Amino acid sequence: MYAYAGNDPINRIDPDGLFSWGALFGGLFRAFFPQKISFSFTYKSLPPISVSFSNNFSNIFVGFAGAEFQVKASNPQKSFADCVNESGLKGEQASTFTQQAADLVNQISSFENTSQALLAFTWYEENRFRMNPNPNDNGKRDNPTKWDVGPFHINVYWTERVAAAGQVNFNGLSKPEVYGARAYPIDPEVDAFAAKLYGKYGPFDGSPLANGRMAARRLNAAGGSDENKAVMYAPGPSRAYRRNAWRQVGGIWNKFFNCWNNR
Amino acid sequence: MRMASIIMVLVIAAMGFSCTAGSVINNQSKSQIVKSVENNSPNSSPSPQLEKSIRALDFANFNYPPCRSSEGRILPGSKDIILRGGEMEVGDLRKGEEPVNISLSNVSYHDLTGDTQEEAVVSLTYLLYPHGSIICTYIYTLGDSNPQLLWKHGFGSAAFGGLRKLSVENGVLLVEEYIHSDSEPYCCPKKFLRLFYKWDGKRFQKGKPETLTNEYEDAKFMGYPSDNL
Repeated sequence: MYAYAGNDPINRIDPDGLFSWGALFGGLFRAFFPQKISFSFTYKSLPPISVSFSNNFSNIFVGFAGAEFQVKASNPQKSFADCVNESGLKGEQASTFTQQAADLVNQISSFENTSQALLAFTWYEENRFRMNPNPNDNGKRDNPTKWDVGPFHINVYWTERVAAAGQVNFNGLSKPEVYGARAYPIDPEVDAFAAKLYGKYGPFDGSPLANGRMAARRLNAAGGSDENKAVMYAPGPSRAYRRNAWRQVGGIWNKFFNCWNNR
Repeated sequence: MRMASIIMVLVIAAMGFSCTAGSVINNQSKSQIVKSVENNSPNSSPSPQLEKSIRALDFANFNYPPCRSSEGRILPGSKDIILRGGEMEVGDLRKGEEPVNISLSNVSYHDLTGDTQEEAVVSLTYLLYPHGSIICTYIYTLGDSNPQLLWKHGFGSAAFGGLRKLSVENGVLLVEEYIHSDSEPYCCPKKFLRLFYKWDGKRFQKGKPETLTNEYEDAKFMGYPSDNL
């Protein structure tokens, strides 16, 4: 009955049957902030091809010969917090884990082909995702070569020994980056800055990536399953605890990285 | 002239010999002490002034009884720890064995028994593979001309009651050990125990432990008695 006013005679007037304020503003809004952007083109004698996509590119359609196909369906990207919640991480593991830590784990994993879950688990157990922790001086503050250093608490003495035994190598890594200059100065004789730092207890001053890559090499060198690698990264008296912890959360870490890497 | 030189050399040599012999004779009662020290410390050569002191012992070249850690493990086995040059290592990586590196970390001297004689508080670090450590502390006194062990204790790795601090206050041994709970990561214990060991005339008696909060983010080692931290 009121089709001339868009079936809304109270809000709309239509003296000539052609005007609507809502349509005007809606049209202007859509012109400047369109939800869906479309265009079409022709090629030789083929029927017109139309392409349309939502303004966040989450949906893409292609039309041809009267038919329309969706080539990308809407899949809202999950946030870091979404993946933490979905995976079931909780307590301190959830509260200390950051997107920066997840990204570093992915970087280490891509270099060394070590599972992300194993790296995240180990890092949390060793240093609760801190990038520049203080060393564990093992009661030998005056002897940095006996310290456990960096985010993954690599022991300088044993790492040098396993490298000498050919179980790991330093290819592509520099020792001052892996251990930090406090524990391994480039050359204390010529590098005055490193020499000043040498042996001074303080936060890790190397590269978390390099430290993590050497940790990954040592994890890989243990061989076997991820559980075995996780357990063997711990010293003897702590292994039963480490095995139990891995069995509780190893799967959860896998779930997190499945979510985070497949958004 | 040549003959005079030879006579001079002979006289000097004879004087030197008589001084050494005199020293041995005059210190006859101390020779036993030196002997016992030398048995345990093959490379040590205590100075005559310190023969009666515990400070004459060379703890870098010394045989220690095996140490039991807080978790009940005897490290690195039931054999004595034989430090030479301050170090000992067992286990061969190339044979697939897990090594342990043991080294002298600290020696400090205090009168812990109230007899005005000093005791030595000696700490060894057992560097575990692939990282982490256990610290074993021994208290020796010099009685009956031999070093006598009064006390030993193995402090676990950081996650299992690791040593936080060792100090001596008013002749009492003060010990702080981290406590680990399964809800926290290996690195970062939130609590520690503080307790005293006091000599009762026969042995060190453990005092009542006090649980305190660790103010640091991790299992920071606070030092040995001589560190003055």
